[in-house]
Amino acid sequence: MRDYLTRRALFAIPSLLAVTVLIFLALRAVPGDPAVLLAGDFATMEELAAMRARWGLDRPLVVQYALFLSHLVRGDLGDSIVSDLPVRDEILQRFRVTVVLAFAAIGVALLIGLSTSLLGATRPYTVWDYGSTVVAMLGVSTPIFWSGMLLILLFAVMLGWLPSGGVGSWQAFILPAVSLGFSAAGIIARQTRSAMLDVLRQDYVRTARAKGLQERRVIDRHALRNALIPVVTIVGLEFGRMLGGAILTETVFSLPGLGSFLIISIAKRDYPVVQGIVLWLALAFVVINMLVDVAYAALDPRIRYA
Amino acid sequence: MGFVHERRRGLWFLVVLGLILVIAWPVRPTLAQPKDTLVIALPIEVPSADTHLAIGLPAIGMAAQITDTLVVLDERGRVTPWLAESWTEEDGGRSLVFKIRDNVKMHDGRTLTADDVVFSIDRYRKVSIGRSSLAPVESVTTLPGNRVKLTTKAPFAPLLRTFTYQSIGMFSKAAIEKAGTDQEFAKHPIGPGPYKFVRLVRGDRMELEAFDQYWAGKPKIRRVIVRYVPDISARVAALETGDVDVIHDFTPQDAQRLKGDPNFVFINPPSAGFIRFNMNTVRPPFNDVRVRQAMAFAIDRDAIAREIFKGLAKVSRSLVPANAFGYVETYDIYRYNPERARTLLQEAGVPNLSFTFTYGAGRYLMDKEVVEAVQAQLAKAGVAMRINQMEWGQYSAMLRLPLERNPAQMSFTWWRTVNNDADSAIGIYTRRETPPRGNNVPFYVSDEFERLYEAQQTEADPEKRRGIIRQMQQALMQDLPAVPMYQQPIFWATRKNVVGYAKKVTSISTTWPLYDVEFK
Repeated sequence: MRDYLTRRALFAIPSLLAVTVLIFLALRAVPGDPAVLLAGDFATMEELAAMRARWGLDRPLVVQYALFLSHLVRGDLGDSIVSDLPVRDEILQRFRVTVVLAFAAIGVALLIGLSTSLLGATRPYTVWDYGSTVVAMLGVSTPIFWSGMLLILLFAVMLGWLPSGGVGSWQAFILPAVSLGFSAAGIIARQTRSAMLDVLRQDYVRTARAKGLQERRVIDRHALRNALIPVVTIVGLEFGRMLGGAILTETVFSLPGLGSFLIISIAKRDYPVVQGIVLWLALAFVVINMLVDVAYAALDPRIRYA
Repeated sequence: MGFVHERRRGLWFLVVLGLILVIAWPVRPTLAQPKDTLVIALPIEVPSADTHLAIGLPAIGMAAQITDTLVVLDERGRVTPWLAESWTEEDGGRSLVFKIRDNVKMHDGRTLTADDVVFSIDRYRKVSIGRSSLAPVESVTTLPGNRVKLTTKAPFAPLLRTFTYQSIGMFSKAAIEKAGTDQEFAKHPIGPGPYKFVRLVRGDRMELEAFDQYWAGKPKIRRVIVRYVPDISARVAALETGDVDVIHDFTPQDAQRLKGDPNFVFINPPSAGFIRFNMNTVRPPFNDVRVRQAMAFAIDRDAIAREIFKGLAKVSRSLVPANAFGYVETYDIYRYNPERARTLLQEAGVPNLSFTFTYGAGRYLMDKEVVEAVQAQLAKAGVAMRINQMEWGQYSAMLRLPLERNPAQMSFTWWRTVNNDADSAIGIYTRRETPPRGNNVPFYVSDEFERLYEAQQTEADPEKRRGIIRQMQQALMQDLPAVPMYQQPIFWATRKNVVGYAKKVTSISTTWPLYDVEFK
């Protein structure tokens, strides 16, 4: 397993390098000038030129990229064009918010997704099953900004129980976690239900029941564990997506996370920040994929990585 | 099916536990305590607490609570003493001498001196994005008696008003020197303002604390928190829940609702910013003045102000903002008249005019609705307007392209003054502002206009200067390089227990010192 993970980590390096090249070129291919966007209407030609020179944007692309890489290998992502602060600090500060939100939301998603789908799959084609399907459909099809606004209206404006946004307290994370988690819950519930239904029809489940095992043990030991393998893939993807920043949730709930920061930085053509965030996200996906592989092996003893 | 029963019990347990937790939660603690913190929600974040480095006018207004300006504008737009208790013009209008108020304390315990003022102005001229507003200044020196002298290359009439711009704040010279670099100082700026800097959490908030030795009086509210709440609905909801006390920038629909609700105070100050529709005056079809004038007749600006902005925006009647020194609206002859527009287009030989309107969608309040309304209005005059929506970054880069590469036929821009003087609004129609150098997006060139522009800048007599600015507006409204559309409305709202905020908001979305704002 260790060899496998080491190999995966080494293979990730060229992928990450390719990401740096792609994002570097894509950003510069998009029309828009950070100097004009930052200086606004005030600046003269000379001032704009001075700003570009200060950020090194007047140099050939190859030189700019080489400088970026040389800083990168030393762990330096450069300074933000907008704030002048180190990109690494800017990202880390927002990543904390994103991580808290992502963990809380995936917790909500697992709680709602697994419980409703198990309830439905173990009683197929009953009112419980239809109910859980409706919950899953609602989760998948409700736009996040809409559910977010509804939650704010109900719990903040009408009832006054929870803050409407911000990061002033831990309670402030409840509504965004529910809003974001509910959407992922739908996807998890649908996947788990169909996987469970498949597994419950398998011979070994019938055998387990025929042996006289308690239904709870049949579900826990034999059915759920096997059904979870595709679910883990979905959870990994959803979690990665959340770590990438839930742009709509962050905007509606005024959370200073990575997603809204990325969007603002793209709009302002803050090249170092966008490069830093995209690279960071690519890295996060690599790590999550590796963790998903580890989870496969833990769930199914037949899976071995050599 | 024991499993299902147990699961179900577990699920119900969780639901009940969750409900108990939520119900038992203390209702917002802030409501139970005496209010000593004013929370303000802005649509943009405060990028720096140093006004010399901050960008975005509402953010500059908040950072300005740490510093202070030499002069301010009163409610009628007149320049009023502030850190400078008086001023005189010397050398035939080439010099401006400020007498700095004595015994003004700063947050580091020092007293503000002429040295601090000179250092601050020089620093602004070096580091600020807005430094071109002081480009005519040649030197800044101290004079005995706590005075500061500014000398310009030639008489520059708008200079005094420029010092009302809150970005030009005064700071402690010793603190800046101690910090070593501008970036380091910006992490903890020290000025003479009513509020001391506490901390800035990027992307979230700036926190300030009352400075009891503030020269104009001890601030009545102990703490100010400026929160970044980018979503309009979330800002309005935060005000309604009491999470914040003040919000800025929301839709006309929200404005109407808050205006009619006794729990809130709705504030809609005069605006120094206005929307204009620029036309490329060099290329067909808008190189013919009759075609440009036809556009002004074919657009029903009153209907836009009335319907889209619910009567909360004023129609612009000049290419100068309504509250600027020198503004006059008598030269706007373009009342809605589609028939007149048709006639002018026929005379110009383009009865079936068709063109492309380009704009950076979503940048300005209700821009999409306005553009679509104009498209429908022009259709009534037989004009086919295609709409080209662009992302703001691409759009702003396109507007700055030189004539030979600039594809814009008609475009949507906002313009303003920062000092309530026509000079900074009208100067963009000069030759030196032609893209890529500046913002003369219509590529308008007129020798007579250039001459008048130079003349008003050096005219020391305010009444004579006002006369020249009137002439310039007359020329612009005749040649019409752009259609003045409407004053971009500025919306603020506070909870009803906040007293005195309305007189603090400015015509450029900044905020005067908040020291005398209080909770009822």
